[in-house]
Amino acid sequence: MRLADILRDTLCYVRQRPVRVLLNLVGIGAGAMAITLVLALGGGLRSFIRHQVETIADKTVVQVFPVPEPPLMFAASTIIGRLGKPPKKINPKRRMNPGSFNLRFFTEAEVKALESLPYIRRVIPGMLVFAESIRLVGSKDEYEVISIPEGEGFRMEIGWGRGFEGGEDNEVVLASGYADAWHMKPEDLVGKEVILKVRRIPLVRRTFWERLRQRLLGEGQQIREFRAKVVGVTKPSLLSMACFVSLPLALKMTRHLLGDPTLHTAGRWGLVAICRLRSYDDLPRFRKWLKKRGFSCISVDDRLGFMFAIFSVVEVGLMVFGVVALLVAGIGVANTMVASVYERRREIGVMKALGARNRTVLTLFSFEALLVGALGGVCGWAVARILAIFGDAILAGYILTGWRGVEVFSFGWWLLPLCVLFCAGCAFVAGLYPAFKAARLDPITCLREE
Amino acid sequence: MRKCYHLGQKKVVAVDGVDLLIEHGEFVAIVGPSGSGKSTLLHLMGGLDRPDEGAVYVDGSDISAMTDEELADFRNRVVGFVFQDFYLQPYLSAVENVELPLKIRGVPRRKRRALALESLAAVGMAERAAHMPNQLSGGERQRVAIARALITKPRLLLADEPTGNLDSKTGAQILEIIERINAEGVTVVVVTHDAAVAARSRRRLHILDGRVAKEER
Repeated sequence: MRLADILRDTLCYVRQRPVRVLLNLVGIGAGAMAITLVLALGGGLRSFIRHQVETIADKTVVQVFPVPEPPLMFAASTIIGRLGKPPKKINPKRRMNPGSFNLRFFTEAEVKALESLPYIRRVIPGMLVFAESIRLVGSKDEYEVISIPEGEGFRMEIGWGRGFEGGEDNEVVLASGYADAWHMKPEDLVGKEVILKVRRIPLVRRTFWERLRQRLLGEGQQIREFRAKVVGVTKPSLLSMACFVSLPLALKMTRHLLGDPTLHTAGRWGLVAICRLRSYDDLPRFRKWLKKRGFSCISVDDRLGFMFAIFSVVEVGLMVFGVVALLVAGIGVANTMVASVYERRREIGVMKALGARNRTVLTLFSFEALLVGALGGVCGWAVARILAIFGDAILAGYILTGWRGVEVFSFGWWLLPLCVLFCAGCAFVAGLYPAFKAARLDPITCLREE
Repeated sequence: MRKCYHLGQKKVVAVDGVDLLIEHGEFVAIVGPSGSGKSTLLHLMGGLDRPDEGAVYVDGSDISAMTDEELADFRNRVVGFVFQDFYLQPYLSAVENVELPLKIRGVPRRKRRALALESLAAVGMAERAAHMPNQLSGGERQRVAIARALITKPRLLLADEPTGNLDSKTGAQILEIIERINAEGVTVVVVTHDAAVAARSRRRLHILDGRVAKEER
């Protein structure tokens, strides 16, 4: 038989049994939709996050640690789950604990070595400013906050007021999200005073006796409030709950947090060095240099990598779900095809009596499965595309409100052919057994049973 | 020639030592009661089945020794089948049913459509070409089935109770068509238990318990 005739006959048969075909399409389509969404989300979310993070973070700024393993959780905990969200009111009794890390202080010689590298533009001590909450002076309501020291590589795009001018005052620049949270105009926020609450946290890993002493003396419970003037408000950005802290204030906060009043004096340079590279292209050789020295670093790429690693786990889970859905759909196709073979025994018998070869019957049934699979793939892709449009709209409108250009589902041109081929392949494999069964039927048996 | 079937544990001898020669252009009727083996004999002649013992020669070729593929080609090119229940494909129109053997053979659509219309015209069904089987009467369906059998210009027409589901008048019309086909040189073998049908053939084989019990000319 000619391919065009096989296609015409299959379409004719499909038209004759719309309900059966529809049920098959639903089964295949569900699997196709799940897989399409996972693939679209996988590609789209990664590029979306990368793009978004790169708009708020400077790729040339690297956090350097004088230990071989960087405390990635420390870096990630300040960002993950809080980007783009408006600041929320919190319970003042809530206690934040980012854990303790195996950190040590840089020596003067080590800092000098860093500064002497030709591709390093600037080295400053990194501050650890974990403010637990922020509140307006005169208000009791405390709000969550991401406190970011000046010069740490996060972009601070001033919308109202000014940036830091190098004075010794306690100054902050707030994200515009706070103006919304406090029901004020951003320009009215400039000049107001806020209070940042900092709790002493044992960030550096301590010995048992140190932990015991601190527990007995209650050192870990010390809370101090830092009063600061709002000098500027940033334009709406992903860092919707950011509080940029001037260096003098950041130093005070860090000294309290670590319980070390001598921090950043001679011999106590810092736990983290913030290095600004001349070019992002220098990062690989800088990493090599750090590794040789027993140091480590966290760049924007590492933060993204950490986020993607978490996302990959979710992605694998979703993919497994999609494959299982398609497997179930495949079994469904096989089941209906077997039923179809039984139902069409007479047709098969007549075809064979008229001279159809076994391979003609095999081709007819395989083609039918292939067509149903391909149609299911197209339907699944189309439904996924529609869901993705709704998904992006919902994410932009209700969940990722602070994010610009929300498009987390990426539908590349390759997704439709891939989806169609994959589903057609699955349905073809599922239809092989019934197709072989049909091909092997004895014409006399088929006609006699009728 | 011998052919047995197994019905559960029971072995049924459908054709038991039949030795038969049918000449080219003959019109043969195989008559006998139900279960006598006449349909099985017809299926063996048409290559729908293979004998357990013995051989079937058509035009000098041993069709019982053919592979499945060769046998399929044989059925497509040499034999035309007409069944009691017509066996038209329900989702195809009359003309599409008629062109089915040529479609299986891979003949281009335009060419086979022309031949199918010609074949339908030969059985007086040209005007009903576009009708679906469920829009046709029993006699019309059988005419379409005959047109389908004729489209390949077979040398052998095998009809299994072709008038079995038709009234006497329609049955007579169908027999006239079959006689005309035979007159054009096609060998015709008709299985029937209708004496009137058998009477119109030139040679009658009476089958009983799988054997040729009597032969009349």
